[in-house]
Amino acid sequence: MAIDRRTFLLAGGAVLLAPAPGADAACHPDVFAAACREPSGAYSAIAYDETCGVTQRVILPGRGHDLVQRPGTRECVVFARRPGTFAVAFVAGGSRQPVHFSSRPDRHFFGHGVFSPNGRLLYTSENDFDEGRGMIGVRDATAGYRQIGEFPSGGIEPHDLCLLGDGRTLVIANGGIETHPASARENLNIATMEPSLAYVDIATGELLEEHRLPQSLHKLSIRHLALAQRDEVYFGCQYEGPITEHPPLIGFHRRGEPLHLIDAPDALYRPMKNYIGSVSADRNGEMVAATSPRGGLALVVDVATRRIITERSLSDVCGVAPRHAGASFLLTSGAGDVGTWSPNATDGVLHRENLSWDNHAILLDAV
Amino acid sequence: MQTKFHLGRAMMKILALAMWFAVLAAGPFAGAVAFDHPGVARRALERHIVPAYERLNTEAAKHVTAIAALCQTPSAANLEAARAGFKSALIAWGHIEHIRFGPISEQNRYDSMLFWPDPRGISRRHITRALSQQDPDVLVPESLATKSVALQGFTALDTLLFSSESDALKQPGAAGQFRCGYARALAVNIERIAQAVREAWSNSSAFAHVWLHPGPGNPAFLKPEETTHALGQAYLMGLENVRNIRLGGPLGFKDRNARPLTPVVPYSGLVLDLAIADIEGLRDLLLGSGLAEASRDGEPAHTVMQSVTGELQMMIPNLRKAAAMSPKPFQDANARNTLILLGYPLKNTHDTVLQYLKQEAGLTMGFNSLDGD
Repeated sequence: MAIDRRTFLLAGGAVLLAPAPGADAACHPDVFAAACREPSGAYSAIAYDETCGVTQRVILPGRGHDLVQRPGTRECVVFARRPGTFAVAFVAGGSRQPVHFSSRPDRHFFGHGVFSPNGRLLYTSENDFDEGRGMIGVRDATAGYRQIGEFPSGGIEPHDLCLLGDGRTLVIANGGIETHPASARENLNIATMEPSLAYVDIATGELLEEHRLPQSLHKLSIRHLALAQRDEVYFGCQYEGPITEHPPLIGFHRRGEPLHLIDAPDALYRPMKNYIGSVSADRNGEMVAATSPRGGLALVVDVATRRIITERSLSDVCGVAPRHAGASFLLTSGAGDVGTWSPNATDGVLHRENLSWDNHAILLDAV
Repeated sequence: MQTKFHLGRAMMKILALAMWFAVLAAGPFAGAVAFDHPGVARRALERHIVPAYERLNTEAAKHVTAIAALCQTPSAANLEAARAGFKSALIAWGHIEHIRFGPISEQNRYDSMLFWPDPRGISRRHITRALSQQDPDVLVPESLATKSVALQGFTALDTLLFSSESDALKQPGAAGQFRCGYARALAVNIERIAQAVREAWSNSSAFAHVWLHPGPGNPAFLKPEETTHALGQAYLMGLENVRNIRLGGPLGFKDRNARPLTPVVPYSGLVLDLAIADIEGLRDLLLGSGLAEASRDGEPAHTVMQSVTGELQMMIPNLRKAAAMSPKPFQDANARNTLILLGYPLKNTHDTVLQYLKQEAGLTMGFNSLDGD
């Protein structure tokens, strides 16, 4: 009897480049990209325009997570959600067939990546699951994303990563939670997890700095990053301890200093349900937004004062991206909502698309 | 008058239609009595959670007694009694292991009860070292409790009581004495955890108070629907665990080169007994909380949810069938196919309840909020 994995898990999905309904280069200067789930259950990567709505969809082999734009081009790479193994490079607004590539057989992606400033090399957070250590894969974008190397991430479960302004120092959020594809997404080491923020030289793979939270907060997983002005790294956390405890979920770091968590009244953090799903800095690096889909809340931090200045409710909100105008963010939700936030504006939900936006959204730079 | 009457009827039809659309547009409960979230929370506590932890506590205490008797008088009969106690306690754990929030999530208790999955074999290495080095710390419950969770709980007891070396427990001797002392400390810690968790859920000044009184000052549940959300999430994650990890892991639906998982409690061969207990526990959660009954007072029972509990029940004979086919069901072609076919009802009972929670209970079981991404 031929019963296979696909029959059991009801997984799968065709791979094709869908037409771009309503595609129009003149729609709006703010064009975003995000992964999503279609009403059919298929997964895709979407280009989205605030005026024209969805302008392009690229069907994916499975659920996507974050995307990254290749500098100087309209090419985007979307990564599989953990523990997925695929990544797809497509041209936003273009008709070129997508380029598919995957992790090594003994690795899987964690859903995030970053390009070198010249757009030639792609760095991806990956799991060396048999050794239980995080790795950063290095691929050549000019050679069909062929993998040309890798180096350790400095911890377990590298998730988000950013390149500092020097174009050479990679900052990595090592979430600290061990998982293994044989046991799906089950957390394996909550009792002993040790998240960290690591700085690595991408030219040599050398671990430059490594920072951990106090032992009492070893279950506070550092997962998502945003780079604010002057290379100040903001991070968003998820807490794996009891639901009756509410540690701060947002922090920041400057090289050479310890990690700082942003204290706030319990009434601000508690509704976040110990979970931040995405962090993003605005265009000028002066504000940082962090979203909690569990709490249906977005918090905005003023970088100058390092204080939470406002909150915004949107059910199942997770995706957050800067808009071209400073001090302004786009927000997306699992219910399909697209909203914006900016100070002194009564922004509401812009649209409700008939799809579920995934955790992350990015603003595409004009080229 | 006749014309007026007809006009009136037409107007009434239009009005009725308009009201119907207004009800639809306003959401699932517009115009109806609100979903009884506090009632679901109280019923789940009183009919499912507390009784299940009481049973676990009782079985764990019996297991301690059985192992103490084995240590006092090593014999084949006493080893069998200790093994039977292990099975009863494990089954009792299976009935409630889907509740992963509350007191069980404190002090690493959940992982201390059952450290699994363990794809890199950490438990085996730790236990082997403790036995070979005769680590005295594992003989004392208090010191054992401070050591790695990989050394604790049902996983370690499975090794001590059921592996081939467990024959040492049948007769007096140093090897058996150390092994039995370690097993006794493990059983005592399981009992202590079960007792602490049961008491916290039973005590109106402990977690039971948090559970039954959601509100702005509550440390965990700000709104009444959040307790239903926690139960829903426990159910959904419990089913995913059975499907994707307990069964899917050893079946070897692996990504790339990941090896199939070693089944949970491999030496006792109770993996499918535990899966049955898991499914019974999830069924009991739906029945006990009343989620399978009327969603609001005075309404008929929810037939879709009743079909879910029926579908859960129907999986149990197939699990028993697979268990009867082979002591190693994941390596037997017929047993494997029987288990693989359970993938459909396991997914269906997941997805149906997910829809129910959205439409009937008005919950946002969010696309992103169920994830750990």
